[in-house]
Amino acid sequence: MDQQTIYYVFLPDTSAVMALYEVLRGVGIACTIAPTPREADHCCGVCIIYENHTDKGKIHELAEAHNISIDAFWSQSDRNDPQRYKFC
Amino acid sequence: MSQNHIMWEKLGMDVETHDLLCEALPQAFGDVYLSQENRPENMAYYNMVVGDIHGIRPAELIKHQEAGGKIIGTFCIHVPDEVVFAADAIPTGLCSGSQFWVPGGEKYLPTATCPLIKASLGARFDRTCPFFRICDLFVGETTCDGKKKAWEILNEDAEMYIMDIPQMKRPEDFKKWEDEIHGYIKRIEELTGNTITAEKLRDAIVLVNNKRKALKRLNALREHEAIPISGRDALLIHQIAFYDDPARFVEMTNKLCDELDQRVADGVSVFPEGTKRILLTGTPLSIPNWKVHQIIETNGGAVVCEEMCTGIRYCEALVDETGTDLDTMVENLAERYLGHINCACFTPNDARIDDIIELAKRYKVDGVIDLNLKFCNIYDTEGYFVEKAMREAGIPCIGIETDYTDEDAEQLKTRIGAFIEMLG
Repeated sequence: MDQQTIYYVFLPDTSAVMALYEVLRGVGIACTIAPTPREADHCCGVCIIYENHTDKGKIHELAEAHNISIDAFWSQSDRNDPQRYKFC
Repeated sequence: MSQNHIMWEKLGMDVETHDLLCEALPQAFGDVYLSQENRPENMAYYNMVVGDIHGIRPAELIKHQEAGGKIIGTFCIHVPDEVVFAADAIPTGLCSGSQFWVPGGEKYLPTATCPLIKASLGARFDRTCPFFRICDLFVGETTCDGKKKAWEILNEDAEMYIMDIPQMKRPEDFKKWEDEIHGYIKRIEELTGNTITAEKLRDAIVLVNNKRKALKRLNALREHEAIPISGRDALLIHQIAFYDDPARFVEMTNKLCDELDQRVADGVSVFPEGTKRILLTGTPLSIPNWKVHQIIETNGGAVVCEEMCTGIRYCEALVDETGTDLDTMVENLAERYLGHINCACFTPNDARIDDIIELAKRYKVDGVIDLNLKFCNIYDTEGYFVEKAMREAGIPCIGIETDYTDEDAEQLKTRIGAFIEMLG
């Protein structure tokens, strides 16, 4: 994974997120589910993070093959800081 | 407008203010969780649950209400969920772990009230938590003076039922708690219109025990030398257990434990060798209170066990499943919910000290951190016995007092960092 960038897939709702996540895991694409970053300004509260940006095309194909609608692919630099100590 | 926003508006929430909380969650979650290396893959489920914490589960609860069911909000692990499930209602633990809600609570409560209580009232009165809008009934209990008075204030805005928990554990206290559970059954039957039969209660006992068994399995995996999951992740799972659908939670937690079993077999640890094993004891850490775990685990420590309501106390003891009639089952519930939860509200409370020492040995800990939420007088005072017993047992121990703010994070980092360094 490129340590400087995090790659996201945005979907319309949590059911779609869960469905695509299961598909991706099934074919061994490294990914997880995460809260949608506020900067993305996307309506669904959760999204998928995938580790390798070269998987983007494959993710698109798999979503189409399973009739899962993707809203957008997105990326931003890794802003997570374990030493920030700002909580919510 | 998102589906969540439509739902929140229908619930009468202050959506604009609530959006501020939603905006803070992703970064805090990213800092605490997504920054971790080698997290178990099956944490994705819990990421999703917390990522849409005010969307997924509230929508499920509303669906249950639309089908005629009731939702019961609770604040304490002494209140038996089994009674609620047995009436085809759904219990939900109420969120109270964020500083976001504290100022709202301070409009009604003295500042010198613990943040957990202040946040609970703030969440309700400020209309910034869907769970606090959905519940048909709030069930309080008398585990501390702060809560007792807070329930009277909350009762001005919401329907409440109070369970009077005994402060000792004598035979007559168990009888008293049985009577309280019978009273609770009656109240829940009135609310739902459903009769709690022996068969229904037995099914509910098995359902909740299964949740406890899954959590016990998870905690047992943390006993290993190579620690397969961080304390932060384990804490998150315990926090989610309070409001997630129990059957789904059991399935997902056992799936995670299968993955962790493999990690144990492969000797995989999420911490570098030499990381100090810490047992955390004290007041509960409600979602999204991840502060102390984060500070410990970014300063050379690994939390391997929580002797807390959001930890071992919640899941360690099971309810006896062999009862066949309602009275025996209530007796078994009383035995478990009074006898096996060693809250600082009891006097004497030697069993908690015994628990800490036993857990320190079982989890092979290097040190104990006695954590106290500010203004929680009973845990603060009991800290005297905790620290004395640890000294006598030769277990390094430090007492920490904190609240939900970020303001003391650097001070805690210094103190906790020095303590861990001292562990050699």
